[in-house]
Amino acid sequence: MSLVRSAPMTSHRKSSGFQKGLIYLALLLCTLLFLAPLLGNVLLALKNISELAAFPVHILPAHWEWGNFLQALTLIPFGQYLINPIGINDLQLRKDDRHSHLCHLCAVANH
Amino acid sequence: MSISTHEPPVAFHDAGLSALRKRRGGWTRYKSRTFYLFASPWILGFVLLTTIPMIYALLLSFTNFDGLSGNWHWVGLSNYRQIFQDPDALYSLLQTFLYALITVPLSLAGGLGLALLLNQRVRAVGLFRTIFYVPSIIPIAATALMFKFLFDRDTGLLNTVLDFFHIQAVSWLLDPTAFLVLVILALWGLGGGMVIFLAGLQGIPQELLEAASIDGANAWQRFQAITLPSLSPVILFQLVISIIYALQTLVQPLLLAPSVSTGAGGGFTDPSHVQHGDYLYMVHVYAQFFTFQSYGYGAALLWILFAIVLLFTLLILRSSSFWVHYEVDQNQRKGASA
Repeated sequence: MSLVRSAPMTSHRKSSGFQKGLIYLALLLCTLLFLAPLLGNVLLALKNISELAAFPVHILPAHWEWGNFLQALTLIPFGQYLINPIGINDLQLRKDDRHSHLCHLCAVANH
Repeated sequence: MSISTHEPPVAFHDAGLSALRKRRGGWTRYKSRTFYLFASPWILGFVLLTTIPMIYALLLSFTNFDGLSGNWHWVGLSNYRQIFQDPDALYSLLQTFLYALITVPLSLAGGLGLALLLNQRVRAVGLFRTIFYVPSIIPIAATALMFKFLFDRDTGLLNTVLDFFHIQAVSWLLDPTAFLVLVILALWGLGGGMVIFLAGLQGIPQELLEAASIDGANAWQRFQAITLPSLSPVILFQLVISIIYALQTLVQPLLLAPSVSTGAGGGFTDPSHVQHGDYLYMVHVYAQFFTFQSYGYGAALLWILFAIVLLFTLLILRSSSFWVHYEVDQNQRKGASA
């Protein structure tokens, strides 16, 4: 193949406006696909229980329940669950009733 | 460094291959105590948390242990014989292969496609990259429950949107379409692969691409003559890892299954509620362990899966010399084999 000096510079650096538009269109479509489940979940998180089961479905909550997020943090010992995976609580758990219950099960299993 | 090897460092899979070829040299190649000292955290973890449990499972697979009673005995190979007479095991294995066959190529191609898009000069590239990557850092249990809400027949967002176009409500999570939801869930997480492809793309020397375009190569020619061969080690890595993950899929089918107590996402899950299309191999294994308490049979199934994963991995690694290009080791490989 001969080296064509006057080849048009269709380098990846300079794409035409049309190409750019296509790239943005594809990116935006993918963004919609990737974000839709998350957005749907955020809307769910802001509904109260009766609205969750409402039929026909309310896409936007009639009542924005921001308190759900507070409840998520306070209804369960969230902080303790958060540090459990790090292993800080392992030593405490050993004295815990749940654990001795497990040990009891193991003992039963061995017999 | 005090790691002494006979060979100069080569890419990981090549090291793996040569280690396979000359097995006897394996341990003695690393003579240094320092090496073992520094590697000891991993070695300890590997022995205590991987090797010993695996051997335990192997021993278990020759027994009829039910997980609780002491009344078990050695049954030899009968658990393994049972697998071949268990239509559910064979069905779930085929279904798992189908799942891997669909999701692995699609998520690799999709990840590569997104990476190519993001490798262009576009605005807000960091934002797009984050958006595509976010699904793969959400815990899998959370994503599965999210999809369960999303695809719910009565309260799901998807059917609500479809209703807007006057399309009748579909029971997505029940049988003919349950498998489709599982596949979509897998594809939603392809951003993890995208990031690795993106890193690979950015490692391709710009001079090569520029030289090619000066020579008159169009975008497609540049892609298949430069980008794809340069990415082939990344593709190999992704292929092996994705196949292993796909074959081990367990949580998604379990959580997408209709709950035992009513209500979307509520209640506990039971393998018997997993839809026929979602009944993957690991679900069958889970059912053996935790529903039927056949620990021995479950362990035998797990070892068969391990053998299958090992076989696939070895086949892919063997095939890689035909399609994976390394820039550094072409001459070294010739030298090593000579």
